[in-house]
Amino acid sequence: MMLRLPYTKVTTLHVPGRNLGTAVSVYAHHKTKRKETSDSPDIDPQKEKCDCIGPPDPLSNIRVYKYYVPPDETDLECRYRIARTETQEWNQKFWTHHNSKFKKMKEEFIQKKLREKYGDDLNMRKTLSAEEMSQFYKRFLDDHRHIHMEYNKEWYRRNFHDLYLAAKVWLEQKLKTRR
Amino acid sequence: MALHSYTPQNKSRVADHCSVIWIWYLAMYNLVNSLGLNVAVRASEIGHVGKIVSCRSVISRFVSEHGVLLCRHRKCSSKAIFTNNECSDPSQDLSSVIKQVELTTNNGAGIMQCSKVKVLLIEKSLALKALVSNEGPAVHHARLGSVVHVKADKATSKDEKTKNSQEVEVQLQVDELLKRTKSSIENASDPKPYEDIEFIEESRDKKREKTELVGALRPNALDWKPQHVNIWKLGSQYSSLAKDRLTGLVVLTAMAGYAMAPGPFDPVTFVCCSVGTGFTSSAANTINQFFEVPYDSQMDRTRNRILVRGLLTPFHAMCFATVCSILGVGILNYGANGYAAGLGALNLFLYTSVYTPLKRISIVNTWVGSVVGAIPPLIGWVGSSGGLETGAWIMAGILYTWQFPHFNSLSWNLRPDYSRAGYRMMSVTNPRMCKAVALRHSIGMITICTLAPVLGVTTWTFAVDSLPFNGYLTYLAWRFYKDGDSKSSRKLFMFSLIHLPAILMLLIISKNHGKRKDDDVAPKDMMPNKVNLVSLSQDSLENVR
Repeated sequence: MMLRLPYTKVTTLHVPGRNLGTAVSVYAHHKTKRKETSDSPDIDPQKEKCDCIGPPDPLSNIRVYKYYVPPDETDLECRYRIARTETQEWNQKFWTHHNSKFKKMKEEFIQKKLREKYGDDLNMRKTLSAEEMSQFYKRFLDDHRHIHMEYNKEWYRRNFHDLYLAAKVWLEQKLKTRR
Repeated sequence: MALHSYTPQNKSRVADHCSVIWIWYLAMYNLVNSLGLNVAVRASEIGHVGKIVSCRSVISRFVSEHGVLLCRHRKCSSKAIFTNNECSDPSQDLSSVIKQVELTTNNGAGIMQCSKVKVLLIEKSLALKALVSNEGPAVHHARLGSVVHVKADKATSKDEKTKNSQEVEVQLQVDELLKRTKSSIENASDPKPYEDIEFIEESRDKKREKTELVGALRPNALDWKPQHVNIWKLGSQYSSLAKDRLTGLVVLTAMAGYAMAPGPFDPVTFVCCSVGTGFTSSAANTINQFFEVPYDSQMDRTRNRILVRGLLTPFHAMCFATVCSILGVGILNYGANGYAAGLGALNLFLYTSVYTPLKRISIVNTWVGSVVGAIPPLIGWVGSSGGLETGAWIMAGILYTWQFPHFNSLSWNLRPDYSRAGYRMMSVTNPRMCKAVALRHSIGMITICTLAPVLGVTTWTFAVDSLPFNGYLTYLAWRFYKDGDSKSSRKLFMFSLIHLPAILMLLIISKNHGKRKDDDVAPKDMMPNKVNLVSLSQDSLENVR
């Protein structure tokens, strides 16, 4: 039994228009395909006929997905795709904001500490030990405890919701092919 | 920085040396500064590169034949000649790093100028680094010893003689040098004691600003990948989902538990215990990864996990986890006994539903995690003997106490990542407690290992031969407690990885076989209904559902 999962393509199957045989040759095909898209770094999920994952965002460290919209998308599949898109956007927003806040507060802390430690001496080699930095980390973690708790709850809720929808979509696909 | 390109006066000398090829390492400006050298030069300006066949031969040849050193830059073919009147002794130890050589240059007016320059010698290295840039230093390939040439800046050349030119013994490999010039030089040459520095303020210096690539793509801009399931990679992807190394260690502890148990060695049950534990552990790890995708993407250590990179969909991973958990608990149930299956299921539940969420709620997660680590030997034990005797608890106790020095030292260096990602660990919230707990449990380890022979689980030899390991662990934990820096924490962590397998091995070889199954005499045992338990386990193989 082949595990057909929503919009993930299994290599070695008969996919029209692709050079098949062994997975190795398909893989090589994908390699050249990537080269072709190097002129425009963005890949098109409609061409690939499956979801595409990008590099991690430099600010939020979350990888961006581009979801494939099949021509015969059912209502359930649409809901699933929208749910995942929303989760992704929510995650992006949260972590971008959170990481930039972390960076800013860390910079402020460092400047303050350096000034405290060395005064206005310009020529000394200024360093901060891990012990001193740990004060910042503890304070940041404690201050943001409630924010993290809220995020956790929301994330678990969304994660399970997406999983539930994925299961339903898979079931629907199975029933469709069985008929 | 000064421009010294030079057309040699006596061409014949140049011609002689043209056949000699040397490579020079050109020091970076900051390297130069940090060494207290007052010279540096730009690659395009220095205009000479060559390949050194060997330091010794160059210098000796250099000294004995003509007393000059010639280099020609491969690209721009500008030349320079140096004289070295200092290295007169060919047997001189060339690993001492800074030499003063005399540089003879033509300042354009046909007048030969002699100035002293300091040369930095680097030990032999096979590192290949080819950076060529107009502004920054150029570093060239050297398979053998190399000489770094540094030249006086025109502006400061006047003060050159007044500057204190102290020779500094710095032993460095080229690759180390190229990786972290400033810190590696400082660490090597500075007699200051070890400092756990996390932040160094870089001096703002225009000359050290990096060259910007104009119109370049970000390095990973081409990394858009379609989400295909590649059958051939599925095996290794499943292994990473299951955290194969961790699972392997868990299975080893379960096997140790089986080996220590007093029942007879049944290969089928043994394999079933191990495989069942392996599957259960894989399922638990996969579910853990499923829950923690956004957090893992924030931390350096975990950002290359399968679900973070999107190589498999979360649904696929959860299907895998479900299959593994059913297989694992099923194999434990039908291959070993119901108790093993129960413990396996309990462990799965504890890890996924208690430990994983708790990691972000409170520091109690470390204690829960230690219990999770202590259960696999119990699974092995129960699979063999059908009940949890004293020995099982001793083993569980060893695993439990071991987790603390192991995890606390590991988490010490991950504090920035934990803080940003929102994990509540002792090392961030209460560092003093973190160190104290690690020390306390290392001492507790000694206590448990002494208790084992007292309770009849092992012979007295175990208490004696485990003492060196436990003693060293306690010493490292003590150092960690006192110093609390990255060096001591890393040492403690590394040793804990050796310590546990060693202790388990010693435990097994010192096992107290006083109650052997094949004795005709009724064994005087601590477990009065051992026979019943064994038969119970046999029954359970057939009947337990």
